[in-house]
Amino acid sequence: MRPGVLIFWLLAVPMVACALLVITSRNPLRSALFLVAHMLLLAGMFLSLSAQYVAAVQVVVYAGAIMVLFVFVIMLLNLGGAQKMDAAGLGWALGIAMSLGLAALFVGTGVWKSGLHAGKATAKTLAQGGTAQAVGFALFDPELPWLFPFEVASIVLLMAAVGAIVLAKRKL
Amino acid sequence: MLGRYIPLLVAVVIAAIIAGAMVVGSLILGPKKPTRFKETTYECGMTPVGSARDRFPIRFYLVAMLFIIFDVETVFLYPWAVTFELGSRAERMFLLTEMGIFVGILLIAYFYVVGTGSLEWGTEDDASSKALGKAKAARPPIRFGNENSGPVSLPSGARKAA
Amino acid sequence: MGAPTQAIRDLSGILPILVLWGVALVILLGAPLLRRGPGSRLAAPLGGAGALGALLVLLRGSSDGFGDTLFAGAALTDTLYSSGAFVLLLGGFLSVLVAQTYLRSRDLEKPEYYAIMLLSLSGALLMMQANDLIVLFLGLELMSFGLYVLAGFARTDAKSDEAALKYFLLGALASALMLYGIMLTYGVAASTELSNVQSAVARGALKEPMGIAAALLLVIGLCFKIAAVPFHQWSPDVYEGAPTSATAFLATTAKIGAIVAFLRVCDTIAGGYHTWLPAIRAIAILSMIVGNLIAIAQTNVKRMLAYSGVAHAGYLLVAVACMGFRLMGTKGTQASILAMTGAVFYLLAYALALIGAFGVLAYLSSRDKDAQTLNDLRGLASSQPAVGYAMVLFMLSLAGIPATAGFIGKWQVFYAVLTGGDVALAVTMALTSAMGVYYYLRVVWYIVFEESAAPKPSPTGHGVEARPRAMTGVGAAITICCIATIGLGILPAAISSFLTVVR
Repeated sequence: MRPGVLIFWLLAVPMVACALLVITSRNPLRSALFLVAHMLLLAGMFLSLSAQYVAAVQVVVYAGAIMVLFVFVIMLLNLGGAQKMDAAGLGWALGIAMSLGLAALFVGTGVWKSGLHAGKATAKTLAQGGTAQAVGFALFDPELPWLFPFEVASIVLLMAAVGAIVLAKRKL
Repeated sequence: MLGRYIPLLVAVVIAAIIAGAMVVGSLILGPKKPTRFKETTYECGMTPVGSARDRFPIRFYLVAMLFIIFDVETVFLYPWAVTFELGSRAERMFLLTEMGIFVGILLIAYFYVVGTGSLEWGTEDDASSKALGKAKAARPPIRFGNENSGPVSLPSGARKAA
Repeated sequence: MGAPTQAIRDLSGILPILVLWGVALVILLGAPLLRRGPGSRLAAPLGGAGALGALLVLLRGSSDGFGDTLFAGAALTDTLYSSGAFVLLLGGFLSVLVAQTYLRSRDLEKPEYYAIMLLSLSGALLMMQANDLIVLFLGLELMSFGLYVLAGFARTDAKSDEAALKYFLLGALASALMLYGIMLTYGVAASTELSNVQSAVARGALKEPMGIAAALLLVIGLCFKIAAVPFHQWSPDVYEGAPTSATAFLATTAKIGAIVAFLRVCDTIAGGYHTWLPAIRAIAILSMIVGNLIAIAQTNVKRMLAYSGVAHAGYLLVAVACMGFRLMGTKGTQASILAMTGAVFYLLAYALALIGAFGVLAYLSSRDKDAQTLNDLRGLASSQPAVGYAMVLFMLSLAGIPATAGFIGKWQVFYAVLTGGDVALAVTMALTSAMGVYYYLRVVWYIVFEESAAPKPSPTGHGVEARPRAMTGVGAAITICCIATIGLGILPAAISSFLTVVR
């Protein structure tokens, strides 16, 4: 087995296991911790695909900030110990059908390969690797269309901040 | 390519081994004589006051939310910073302007957050601080004790002195 | 061309967006001053000035650079954008007028409301100007974030909270599906820029499984936003729970932004129509039938308008389906261009009638009473004739009765789809429109022929009905909507210079 493939399986199997534990754990906090583990493994997966910047973002934003929010929300709701999460049979069936459908979609499109064209951007990125610097060069290149979305992102973040305050601040 | 991460992997493995060894070692080596008082929550030697499962005020949510938003902002700063140092003078000016706009807009978001008092803590007379006051008032006298004596109330004079 | 002139050209291409951002930021920075005291009277005028300013900037802008891309291919300006933006910003301005009165009467007014509205409008504009799927997605998110918050703006009202939560959860799901679609598009086209996607489709990308999945996921994501069957479940609860002024805004903004983006996306992937056209046709037919059928059973006017909105999404999807005819000979090309113009006119007529109708509900609401049901409209024609007959007019326009703007819009889309030779869609459209007349006329019946349940206004003028509100924002909005609905119904050519889409 090539080392790349070995690393893939070493990351993929615990990753799927963690994902399953997230939805089967009865204690919401335990679910959250499995989600952290899942996200860290996912960061490892990104790293093995030489997407170093995305791996770092995965740790900083998802495993860090978003998990803090998750834990706060769980504490906020005061779920108090293990919850019996008995979803209706139909809900389970629908959920399983939907996730199987999505899985089939992605596995299918991957297996049938269907002409994954390595375009110009892709080839350049592969040569450079996905380091923060490579991302920076693409993001801040005035010849590429990413500068404008970058600035728009700041407005989207502003909107999110205003929205969070409007909805959650006790006294406005 | 991946060879560069072998030291990282080694560090992770060593950390896992050390942490695991501590937990497993104390499980194996530590004497276990559980009593009712040892089983209670360890709260710096104090007897626990009520359950630790308490509702968090919604402010924590707000803080976490704002943390995420500004966290995402810093995520954009990394690729900018490592690109910036390589640019020529003109390119640096360009990069500085672009990031200036980005940070400027988020600075307005920050001013708005501060202006609404979303980062102030405990000045509002909201329900959470009222609840805190009620909890303080209802707290039983602090009791000291060990597993032999059981909880003992100190004389009130001693508490005042402490 | 030097870099500075290029930058100026790029920025002038998005000037309406910049105006909206500028005013929104001013409102947010001034929020502490605008919140209470004398400053609170300024928030709504500022919001209105933002929308109106963007509209004026749009109308005064030259069409010199139309067809060119801006910001290295991230955005573009063309007649589809400019006509869609005209409708959107007009709707936004009218929504500010409705909000001003409604929020004040229900004690909900906060400066943030207007800032969020303006930012949301800028998001919808971005969707229309997007030349890249990433920009389209950012615009969609910017618009949707605002709409989620506005739906939950009545924070102490459980129904409003429920509306915001439902809208957010389903909207987030739709966004995720759409993002998957964009990702797979990148997989087949190696780019998210629309021109590259178009050439990838010409190479046969939509014959590959990944391309098919990408197209369908994009369609599903956009169908969620316009509330087409079977992705419509959120809309009745959101329409009912959101504050009436927010309902008026979100119903029009989401539909205008998403339909224009939908037209552009389907125009781009017209080469692979065999993949997505059957799906769009099926969704359109289902939406027209289901929306009109369920609307009949509603007694809450807001819910009824939600289901009628589902039906209207179906009619608009008929226009979207016409994009698929573009490469089917000259007739097909003609049909696709007619459908674009028709859809934009339809959106204008729909926005005018809908904002007018919600405006009437807002007009009738007060601090302790939120007008929502048919009973609240009972006998309106005798108790408040002006408002009553305005509501009648809006219902007739929504039903598509001749001499109203709604008829012209429906006729244009109908004509486009007939030109394209799709008789099945045309027949469904005609039949379901006839079906829809029933529930619109029931509202008219309640207004004109039922006895008023409320006590008659007392001669001393202290009755509930005796509030002279004509000069407030909502009165102005209703008046504008009335005049425009009749005016466009009789003289649709009056506005064709703004609304004709040229290709």
